[in-house]
Amino acid sequence: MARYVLQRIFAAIPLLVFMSFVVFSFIHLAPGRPETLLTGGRPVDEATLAALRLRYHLDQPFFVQYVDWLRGALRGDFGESFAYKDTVSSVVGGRIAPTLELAGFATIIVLAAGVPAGVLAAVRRNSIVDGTLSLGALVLSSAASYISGILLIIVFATWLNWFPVFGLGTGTIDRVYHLTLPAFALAGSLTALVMRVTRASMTDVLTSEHIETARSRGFSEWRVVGKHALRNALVPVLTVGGLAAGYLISGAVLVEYTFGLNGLGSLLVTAVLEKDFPVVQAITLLFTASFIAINIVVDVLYGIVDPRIRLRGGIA
Amino acid sequence: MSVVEVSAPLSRRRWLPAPGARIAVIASEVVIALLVLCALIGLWIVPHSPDAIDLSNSLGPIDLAHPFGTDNSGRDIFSRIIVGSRLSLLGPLLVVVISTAVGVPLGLLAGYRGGAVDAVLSRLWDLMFAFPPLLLAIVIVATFGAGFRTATIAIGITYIPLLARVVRGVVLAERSKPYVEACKVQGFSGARTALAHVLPNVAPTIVAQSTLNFGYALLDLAALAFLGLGVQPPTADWGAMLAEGRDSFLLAANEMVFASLAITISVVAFNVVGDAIGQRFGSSR
Repeated sequence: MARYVLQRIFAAIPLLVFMSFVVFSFIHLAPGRPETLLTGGRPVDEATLAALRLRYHLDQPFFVQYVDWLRGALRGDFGESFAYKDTVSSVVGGRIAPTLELAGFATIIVLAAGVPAGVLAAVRRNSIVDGTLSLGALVLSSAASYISGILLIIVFATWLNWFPVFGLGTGTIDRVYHLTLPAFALAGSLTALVMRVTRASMTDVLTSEHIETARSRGFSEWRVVGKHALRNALVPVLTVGGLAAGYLISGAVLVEYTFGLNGLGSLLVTAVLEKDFPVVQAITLLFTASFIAINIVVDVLYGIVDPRIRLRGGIA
Repeated sequence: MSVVEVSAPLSRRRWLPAPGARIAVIASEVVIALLVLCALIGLWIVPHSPDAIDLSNSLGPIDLAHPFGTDNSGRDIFSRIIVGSRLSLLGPLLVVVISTAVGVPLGLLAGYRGGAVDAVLSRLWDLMFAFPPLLLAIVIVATFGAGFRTATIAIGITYIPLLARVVRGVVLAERSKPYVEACKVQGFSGARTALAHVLPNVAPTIVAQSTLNFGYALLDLAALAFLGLGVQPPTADWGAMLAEGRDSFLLAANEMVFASLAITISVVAFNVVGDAIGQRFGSSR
């Protein structure tokens, strides 16, 4: 197991280097010179321009710039932001916590709502309960996070006045209160996905022989479903874990922007619009690294829950 | 003796809902037909010009003249939703065209050839799947500038591996069927077998997946426009309307509500029809 994890981590390193190189080249391809962005289009004398180039390493050839950036990145130094006149590490670092909290909150909602709803739909399959839940899941899975976010704000923040519209709040309780609507918006389509997968796998398991055996031995329905069926039914649910990671990351970008939360996602949007390339570079690297990390964790969990699955080294 | 399976001709009749088809499928097909109609002739049937500004009627309420109210500049939201269907549907259509034009040949090649070709191509799209979705598109837009064209190409590129992987999977399953063997025995070339015999049999899966992709692409493109990275205001487009409505939606939410509804209803319709096509041909996803 430890060997497998190490293998996966080592396989991820060239991938991250490749990715950072792609993003770096993209930025280099971008029309317009970075100096123009730094000066804000104002005419400046040659000496100032030279000083700016030196400060942001723009005087070097492309490949040297990349290697310099990579060396710095390994030490945790991602250069200086074009827009904030501060190091990228401190600009980005301050934004990590809200994004993590949002994603964590959403994950809790997905598991706490999606799994029980899926179990219920499978146990009462083809009933009105199942029909309602499945239809709800269909609608929910089609409503993107930003659209549910907008609708949640309109209903719960402006009409009913139950929740704040924007911002993060101060203190733990206030923070949870401020993150409730965003977390539900982010969790929506994932909850639907988890519910559908749970329902499908639970249906399979409930018609299998070992459940018949458990029933025939006179165990209560509660025990059959909760103890014997659920454990087996949850294995396929893990397969959507990787997909879920992707949803959470791109969803966080949209939800943070919708709710005006100062996290990594909204910073990425601002940085893209302001062409603050060092910040874009750092955030994409961070997002991709967490995406790969979550996928590794999911695969490891998969192996633990279902020992029949043999783990092999993959590309990511 | 092996039985040669005859590939079912994809006659027009088979695409129409069977008599027992669920109401949802029929409703969705009607929605899609209406959307296409709006996109084609919307500009000539709307009650107001979508760009007619009337600052005296800013954020106007819902009334007979303006069934969905008016936006910040006093433009008729109903007309803008109808006319906006044009760009909002053209974008996903182009995404489907781009991803099919590149993804289907690649998937067919990887699935039918197998071996080293398959290994290289599969690694290539594994590499693209290592990016969180939408992030690659955002980086491309960051590089080449916001707008309809960049956003559409960017989303189109991210959908190529998605389709290629699905096509590879069904082609792989198809390759072991007796009719492929029969083609080989008759001395058909690999290209002829793949294009004339395997491709028609996997076509339903491609159509089903592309229909689903159309819906997802609509969502992604609207998301980019909402972030200010796609279609730019004041162009009438559902995503751009979300971006515009964001500034004033605490005062009047009409623009955002109706743009959200238009997007969601369209996506549900394409999802339902995509699923139905997949199920009808027994090849969901």
